[in-house]
Amino acid sequence: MSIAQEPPPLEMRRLTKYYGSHVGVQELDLAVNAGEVLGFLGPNGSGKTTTIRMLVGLLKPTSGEARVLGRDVFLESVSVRRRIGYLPGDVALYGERTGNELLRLALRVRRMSEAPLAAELADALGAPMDRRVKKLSRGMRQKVALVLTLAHDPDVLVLDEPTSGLDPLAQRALLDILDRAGQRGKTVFFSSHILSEAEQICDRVAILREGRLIVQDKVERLREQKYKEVMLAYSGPPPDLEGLDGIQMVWKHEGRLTFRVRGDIGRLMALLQGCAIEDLTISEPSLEEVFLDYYRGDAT
Amino acid sequence: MTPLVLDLAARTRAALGWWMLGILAMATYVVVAYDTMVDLDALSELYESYPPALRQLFGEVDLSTMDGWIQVELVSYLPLLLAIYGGIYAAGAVSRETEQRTIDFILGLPVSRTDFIASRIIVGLLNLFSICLAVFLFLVIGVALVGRTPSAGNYALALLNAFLLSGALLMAYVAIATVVDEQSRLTGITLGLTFVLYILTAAFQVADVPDVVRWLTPFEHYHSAQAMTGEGLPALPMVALAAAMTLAAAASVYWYNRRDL
Repeated sequence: MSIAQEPPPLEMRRLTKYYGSHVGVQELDLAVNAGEVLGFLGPNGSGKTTTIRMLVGLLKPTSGEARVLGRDVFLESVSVRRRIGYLPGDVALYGERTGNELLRLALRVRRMSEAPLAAELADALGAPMDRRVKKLSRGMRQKVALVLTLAHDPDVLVLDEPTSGLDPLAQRALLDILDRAGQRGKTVFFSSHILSEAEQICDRVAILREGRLIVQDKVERLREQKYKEVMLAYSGPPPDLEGLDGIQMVWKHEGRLTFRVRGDIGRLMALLQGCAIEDLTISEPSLEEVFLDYYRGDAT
Repeated sequence: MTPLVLDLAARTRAALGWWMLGILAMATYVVVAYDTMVDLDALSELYESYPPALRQLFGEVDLSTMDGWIQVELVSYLPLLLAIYGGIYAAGAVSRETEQRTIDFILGLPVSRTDFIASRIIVGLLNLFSICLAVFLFLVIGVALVGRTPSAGNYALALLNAFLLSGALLMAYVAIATVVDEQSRLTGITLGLTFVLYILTAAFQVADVPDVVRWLTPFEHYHSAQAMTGEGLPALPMVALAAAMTLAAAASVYWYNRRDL
């Protein structure tokens, strides 16, 4: 007897959007599993927001499809949005309303009598839910919008640059909330161009360039696949690194070398055995360096 | 859809209140001024000497009677005021949501685009109906207070016609708003259209234009003078207005469901 496998909660297949002749995104294939936090990375204009707006049915795909919890995001948009929490980029809310009034409106639309997480979220983020939105700063509006997005404890979170405008404390609080959501089995899909936050909480990242997905992998694996930075202090003659492939010299000065090496670190260690080493540091690149490499086009 | 209707109704209440205040102030002037006119017969004769096109626009009525006076001084151009309200309302309730991106908040909730547009149409029609009802009640009470007998049936029919005409225009403006994302541009378009259509109605009274062209002019379907003189309302134009409302609603839903937001 075969057991039917559950589809991933969030899935895109050859998802494409053109604006006239201009490419928004092209042939995105991506799936996010339950309990996974995926960072959707790319600079401004790379297609992150276009993708997210397709996921909530605001934009119609030119071709391909996207499914959330097994449902087509455009054709079954309402039932999809019943189960997700969507935070738009550059949030706009009705200025004359308070956060609590907007929350009540959202709950009435969702046919819920109360929001299980509202008070806890408002407290953690410091969201001023009882003040009129038009009186709030951008960061405060973002906090209110985050409470509205997360209060009903959705199964799938689709967030467009959620930390935008937040102060460092609120950023930290939000990342903790998203991290915990992933641990509770929620699917978290969030876009960002701030790599450190993706590095802190993401199980996986997907990097977008000019509308195309150029890589998707676990953060650790992306780091592993990239170069390692080696700082070496030695006495006596310098080590001969000529025979080693994938070496990129960064800095060399009187008994000190800094270089990058790709591939098997064992060959480097073997080569350094004959050297009088005073100090050796081998560090992995940050996600930011990995990201920049992909954007410079010299990814391996 | 009900939460959206209640929310929008609450957010448009203040603006609606100001519109009502203005229109009721005009109605007060009309009702109170009637008895202060020194020579109504002379005024009526002057009105008879107006160009036929202008008389058609204000209505072929006896200006010396209270109902004729109310028709010319208020009811004849009430749909023009209501159409202006409709244009401003459509720009605020539909185009503004897209322009300011509040639509992302609303359509991020489990709300269909059809429900969103339907809520905008329902609240718009309710607001127009509220203005018409307020004018009706005011006329009935106001005319009685100045010691005359109100023609409640006539007022009701005339205001029903005003409601249907302005409702059809409001729904047409909502349909245009589904494809125009800038509030100020839509306001300009609808105000321009309203005035052009109103003037065309007058122009067509003197110009020799085919009946089909007249029929396409919305204000041609306003027969308040007939209603105010106790002749009732012709059925066909009312059916045409109801059909136009249905068509505009269908177009709004069709366009809005197919576009990118």
